[in-house]
Amino acid sequence: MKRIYVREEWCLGCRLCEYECAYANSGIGNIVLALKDKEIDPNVKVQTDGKITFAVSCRHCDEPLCISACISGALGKDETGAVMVDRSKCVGCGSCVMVCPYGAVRITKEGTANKCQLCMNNTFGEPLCVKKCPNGAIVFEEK
Amino acid sequence: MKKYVLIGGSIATEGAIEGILSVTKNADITVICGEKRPLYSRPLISYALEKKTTDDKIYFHGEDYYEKKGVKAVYAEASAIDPVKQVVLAEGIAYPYDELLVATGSKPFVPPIKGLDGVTKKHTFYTMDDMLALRADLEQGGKVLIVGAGLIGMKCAEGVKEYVDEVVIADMAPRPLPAATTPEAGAIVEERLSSIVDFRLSAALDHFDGNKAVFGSGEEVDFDVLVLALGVRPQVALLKEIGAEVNRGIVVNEKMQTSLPHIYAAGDVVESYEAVGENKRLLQLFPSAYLGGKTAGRNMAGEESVFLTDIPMNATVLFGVRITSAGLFVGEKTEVILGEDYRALYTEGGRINGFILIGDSARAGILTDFIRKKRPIGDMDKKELLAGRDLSIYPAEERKAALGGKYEI
Repeated sequence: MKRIYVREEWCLGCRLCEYECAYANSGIGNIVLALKDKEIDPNVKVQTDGKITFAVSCRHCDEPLCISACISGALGKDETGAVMVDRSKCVGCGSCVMVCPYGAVRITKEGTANKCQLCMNNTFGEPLCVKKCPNGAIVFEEK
Repeated sequence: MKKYVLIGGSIATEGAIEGILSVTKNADITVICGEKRPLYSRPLISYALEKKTTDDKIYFHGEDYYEKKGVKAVYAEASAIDPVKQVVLAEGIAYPYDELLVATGSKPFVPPIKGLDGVTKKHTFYTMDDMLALRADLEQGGKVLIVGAGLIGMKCAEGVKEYVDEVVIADMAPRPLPAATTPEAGAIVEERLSSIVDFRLSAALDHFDGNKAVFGSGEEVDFDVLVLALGVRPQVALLKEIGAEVNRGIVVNEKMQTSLPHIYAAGDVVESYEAVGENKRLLQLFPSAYLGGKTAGRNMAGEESVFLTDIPMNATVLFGVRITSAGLFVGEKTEVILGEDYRALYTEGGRINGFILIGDSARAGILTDFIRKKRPIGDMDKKELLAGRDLSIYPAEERKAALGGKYEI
């Protein structure tokens, strides 16, 4: 399946991916209206080891621990193999957060789990973080 | 076509179905389940009681899960496994198998307590039927006594509070969640919840006198509805009777094979290899049931698969207090208090043995991974590990490879 991969040697740490992600998942058609004066909680987060920066989002594992731990059936794979979350089923127990080795699933302020769904769950249909990364540091490829 | 029989209809069975079907679509799978319901998620019953989810959503993969997977479901108790490789039901019907999974789970433990027979409204809280029966009684109102302040008792209390104001929770242990917390963390949980529920801790139940519980100290608690949440016991009888190796749970190897040929076991009924303490013990955890079941399923279908590392872990929210823990709480303790949050890390020999987080659990899975894989923490600052961790704590080459898609951490 096509997944998001990070070429960390190209990452500038500009965090544009975070803003594009927040916009893509806002349900609002205008980036200014979507983001202005708002605290964002994107599905991709830029992290650093002090020297190098890299954008971290769900890896869409072949054997996702988050799904094996999910007590509510909110996390599951779609037909392509992408790990999706049905927030209407989530009870917010945080089992997914407890097991994800990438720290890529979180409980949002609404009290339910959320994570990268490759923009398959919004109107963009392709990962906006990838499309808008100015340096090609995030790619969407079959490997 | 190879015949697979799976006894039990919960998470280990789900894992086994997924495991078998990941190897072959050409499988004749029969599930024999004494509980007359399609696959559902037992941990959801407290959320259904609490109205945080609906009764239909307990069927967390849909009520038609077995149909979707092409699995035949037989809702009846298995009464024996016989030497000619078949499972026999109480009514005499037999289901032959080529490969068998025993995922009989556990049942609530109800010790003989003097006067229990005289209690009019008494419940355990383990299955959907238990929840429905409890809810029917709660709708009459009254005062509730829950004996047992473990996870089941505490989650039950949260649901019960939706119906009644007065809830007493008693436990012999000196703190709530004795297994999933330490004295320090348990004290915080007790303090946060003591205005919501009435704790009676270090209280050994002696007997009942009608609808009154009498404790060893002489203290008495009146109630209208009683819930006994005193732990669960694995249902090992089917395998014990035919001579399988059984300790507290069924003994299995890393392929989830029992000591008998063509018989596998997974879920609450088995003893797991616990990776921190490096011993075999009952873990009875949801993810372990699924992963153990999946491993069994793959091996049953002829693909070699092993389930090596398992550790205790729990994530829950009780009355708004989030409690997340993993591993063992032994070794050198490092504590951090951040506002309302309490965090403790247990380390030994340069590795993490366990952690407890009360409050924010963001990226806790990274710590869990360190425990499970016995990763060295080197000279990492333990308080920093507790304050906030991200992928930067993995070795750079490994992180780069993982993000770049070469392999999974």
